[in-house]
Amino acid sequence: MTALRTLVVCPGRGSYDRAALGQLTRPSSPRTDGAREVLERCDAHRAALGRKTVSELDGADAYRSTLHVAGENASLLTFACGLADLADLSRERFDIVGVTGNSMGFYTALAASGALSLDDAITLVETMGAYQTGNVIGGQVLYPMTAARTWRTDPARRQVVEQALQRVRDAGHVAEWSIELGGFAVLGADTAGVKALLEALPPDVRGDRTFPIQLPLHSAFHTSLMADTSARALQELGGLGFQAPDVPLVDGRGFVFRPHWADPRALRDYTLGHQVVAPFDFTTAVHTALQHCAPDLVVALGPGNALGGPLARILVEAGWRGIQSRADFDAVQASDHPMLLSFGVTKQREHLV
Amino acid sequence: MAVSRAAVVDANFSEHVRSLQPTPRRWNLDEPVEYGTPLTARDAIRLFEAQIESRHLDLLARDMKASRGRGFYTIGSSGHEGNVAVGGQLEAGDMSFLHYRSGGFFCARAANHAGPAGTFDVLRGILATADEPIAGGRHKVFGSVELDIPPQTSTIASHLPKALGYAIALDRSARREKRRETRISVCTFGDASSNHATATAAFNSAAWASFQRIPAPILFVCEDNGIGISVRTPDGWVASNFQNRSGIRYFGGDGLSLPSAWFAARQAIDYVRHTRRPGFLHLRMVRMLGHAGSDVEQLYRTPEEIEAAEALDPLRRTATLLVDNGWMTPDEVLGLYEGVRTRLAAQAEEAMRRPTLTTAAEVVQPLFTEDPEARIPPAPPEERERVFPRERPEDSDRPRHLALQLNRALTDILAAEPTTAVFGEDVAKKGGVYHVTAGLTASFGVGRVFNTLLDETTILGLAIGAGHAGLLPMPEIQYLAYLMNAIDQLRGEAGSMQFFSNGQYANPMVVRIAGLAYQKGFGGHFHNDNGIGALRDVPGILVASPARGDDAARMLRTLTAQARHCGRVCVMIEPIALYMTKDLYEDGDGAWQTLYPAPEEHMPLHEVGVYGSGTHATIATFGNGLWMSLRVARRLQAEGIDCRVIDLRWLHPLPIDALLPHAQASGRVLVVDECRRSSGIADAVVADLAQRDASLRFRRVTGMDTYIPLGDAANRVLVQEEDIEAGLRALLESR
Repeated sequence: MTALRTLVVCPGRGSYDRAALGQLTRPSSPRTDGAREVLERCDAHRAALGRKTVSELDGADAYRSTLHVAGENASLLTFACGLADLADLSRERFDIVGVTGNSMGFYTALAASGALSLDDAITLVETMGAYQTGNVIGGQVLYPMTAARTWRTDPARRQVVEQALQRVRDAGHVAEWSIELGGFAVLGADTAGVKALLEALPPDVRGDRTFPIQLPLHSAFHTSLMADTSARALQELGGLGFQAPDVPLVDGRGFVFRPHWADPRALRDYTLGHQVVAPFDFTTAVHTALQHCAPDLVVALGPGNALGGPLARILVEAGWRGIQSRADFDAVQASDHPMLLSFGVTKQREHLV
Repeated sequence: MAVSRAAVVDANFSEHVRSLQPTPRRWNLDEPVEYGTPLTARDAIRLFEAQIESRHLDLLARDMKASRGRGFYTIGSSGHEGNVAVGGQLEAGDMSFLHYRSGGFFCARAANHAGPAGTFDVLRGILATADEPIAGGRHKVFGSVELDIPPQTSTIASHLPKALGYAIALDRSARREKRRETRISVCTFGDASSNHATATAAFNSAAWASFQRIPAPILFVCEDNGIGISVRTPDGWVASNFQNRSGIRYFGGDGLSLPSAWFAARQAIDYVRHTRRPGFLHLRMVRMLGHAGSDVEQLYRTPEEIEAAEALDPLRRTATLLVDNGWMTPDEVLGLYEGVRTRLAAQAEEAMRRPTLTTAAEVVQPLFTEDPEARIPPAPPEERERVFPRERPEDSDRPRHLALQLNRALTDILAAEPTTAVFGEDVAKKGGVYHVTAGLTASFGVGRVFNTLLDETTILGLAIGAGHAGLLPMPEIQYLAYLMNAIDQLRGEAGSMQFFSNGQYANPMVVRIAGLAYQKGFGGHFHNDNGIGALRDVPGILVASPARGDDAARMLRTLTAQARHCGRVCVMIEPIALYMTKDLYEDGDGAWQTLYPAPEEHMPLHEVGVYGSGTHATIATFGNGLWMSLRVARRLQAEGIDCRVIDLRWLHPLPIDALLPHAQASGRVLVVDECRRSSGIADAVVADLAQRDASLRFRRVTGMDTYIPLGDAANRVLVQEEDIEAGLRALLESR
């Protein structure tokens, strides 16, 4: 049996949730040596800095949002879970043909694609996470752009978002696109701007959630409000060993850093510059990755399965493998050849390791 | 059994790479790829991957067709992959008009771009899938909005005039907006098509512009593979033809050698970008795998010649360069080559799942965009005061003729729409042969109203290019007959753009053409041409012909609004004989003159002009035919014969819906068509009406199928009033 062409997608920082607790330290099924090594290296890095290790965080008795959601902890937790999952992925059955990620997941993708060594990636994630300690800048607001009960982005709803942004900006606040997240808008704003956005966007009930929702303890990532962070990162992290990836690496603009010739300086400038202060277009990243890499399968790394919905919606929009609707997607998923498998879903993880 | 050259070329590449000896590895990819070249190893490998992608696109196109019966296009780029050196170092905004061997160019440009454009697009093009992002399954083209590559379908370099037009428009706009422009225009073509009349028009006009220091930042890229289908280009011809052209700087390079092509392209691009003058980049290429998959090259080339061409494979050359200089090992080269093969094959599998166009409505959807509400709002009052200093023309109670009302309407449009530009032969200071453009240069300056050289291909090319640059061109063709030497610029190029770009690109324009006959015997056939078949043949084009001044002003506004808002290619045929006509029924009655309609007034699309409410017969006509028919109708009225006369106004598409009730009102339709019998509208009007209502009775009166002679003899072959009268009487007597 030939290995499936597999696109690996790394989740962003908000993915380590209550259900993820213990997945590194109290796994329900055994982890590989590779996964253990990821955890050890992360722990060693945190220990040397005198910070709670990833093992301690993951091994806590209970999930506490003040502890697990705080940027300085959540970042490396998310990274460690993702890379440990990747280490567990069966390379005999899954041939990795491309890597991308959402938001902070791009840092994970750097390591997953070989563009940064594990240690340098840990330094990157930990340093960027530590900048958040006591220093949350503005915030992020989540809002759906799909029409109710469909998985397709509705141009009218996008218009609503654009108008809300404009109104908030007209009122003198900073408010910008932060992430295009497969049918969801993530908007970034200064503190007053977040409040204004929450009022400017019409309430939208989806299941048991009412949007807009502010993402807890998140800064206005990927906006101009992060300019100082970017400048600091370029100064302090500019010397990391960026290199051409081993497999195509797709960034938050949809640019493909290719093996053999990708320019390390461009990769550094994008990682520490552009994507810190400009919108991260996860939707375009995945569209590009699908078309460039032509995968048989998309694998979402853990923790959690927050990317499952956005990825499914992007697959529908892309019409990939004939998937034109939610029903098509469900049918493909129920078949012998599902298109999307997530480490965060226990039954799917079993197929992957 | 015929040997598949594709398989041979494919295998020979791998064999060649395996035969290379690894050399000590070098790692700093920012060093020159070899001694003495500015091309870095990093760029060389980047371009090599694009070359490989282009090659595998060719191989896959043939493989899909041969083994799966899928795909519709096998003209490839094999042997031309050196064009990556051009595509890979242009700036993103340099609009590029590419011919069909530009696969490497396209792939190299896509690799520099953030977003999904790339080989998957090309594969969907080959398979003609409905979701192919540029043509939507209507043709296999290299095109992408994101990559600033408008799709070209030309096989004869007929895209060169518009590339020049775009170049000139770029700098013209910049100068008007007082900003510095750095973008350039690029077009690629082969050695054989460099001889084509359309191409030579573009070269000549570029040189003409350059000679006068008119900025024309265009890079002509001639990919010279020495053969056009089966006809050899004489050795040295292209270099000899272009090395010493006035006004066009020549750059030569070896497209088989990446460093050579890179260096030549660098120089040429820099020259054009910085001097804003035309450059001609001549790259030596080799044609591999025949003209197309269906071309049996063995019929006109010996096996030795075919093998000699294949031995020049530029991919082998690049592989050797990279291995000999230590940048890649043979295994790495093969890994890259096979990796691209696998990746593109996977893309092809997905592309083959994509739907194709299934209904006629889907196919033609981009052709017929129109907005009945589109308007050209009047210019601000102060601007109108500037251009009409004496009085607002709509306030004048003095009726005037067609030419003057058109002049006023043009003045209003130029004042209202700052993107409009009027150009053609003699349109500036002279004001056109018939003074329709008189005074416009004085009012709007030579930046917006200017003379061109005497070449209709260039005039229409300028118009298409200006549209790509965001302008709204209103070119004038001096006489209808002159259009014919340039008709492909409308038919093959402007008219087809919305179709082959699925509505994403448009070539908006309003072409004014002085035409039709009845110039009292003067001028002969060139100045009295009455053939419109070639125009009506162009799909998606809007053709109108007004007969009187007020109609003309309203119709010109409507056409301009459709061009501006819907990107339509619009043509207005202006009857020369009616330009200055003042009277209708009797000398001195002034009845053919009109007042000027206020600038808000637009003629509804497809609306016909109705004269009278007679029920004995209906005359459907336009142009000079309207003038004559109204006179005949008046005469017959004295006998108690009551006709209504319908001015069709719109010649393509014909306003049959609007005409039908008037036809049914009398049940008898006389079509008065001043055009040649086989070229005009009579056949279509009769056929369409008959299909709608079989009870209608018809006659048609048309010009003869002949060239127009000088003198009174012209009237023997053109529709005359007595022909109309006789036709009417016959129609009324028929049962």
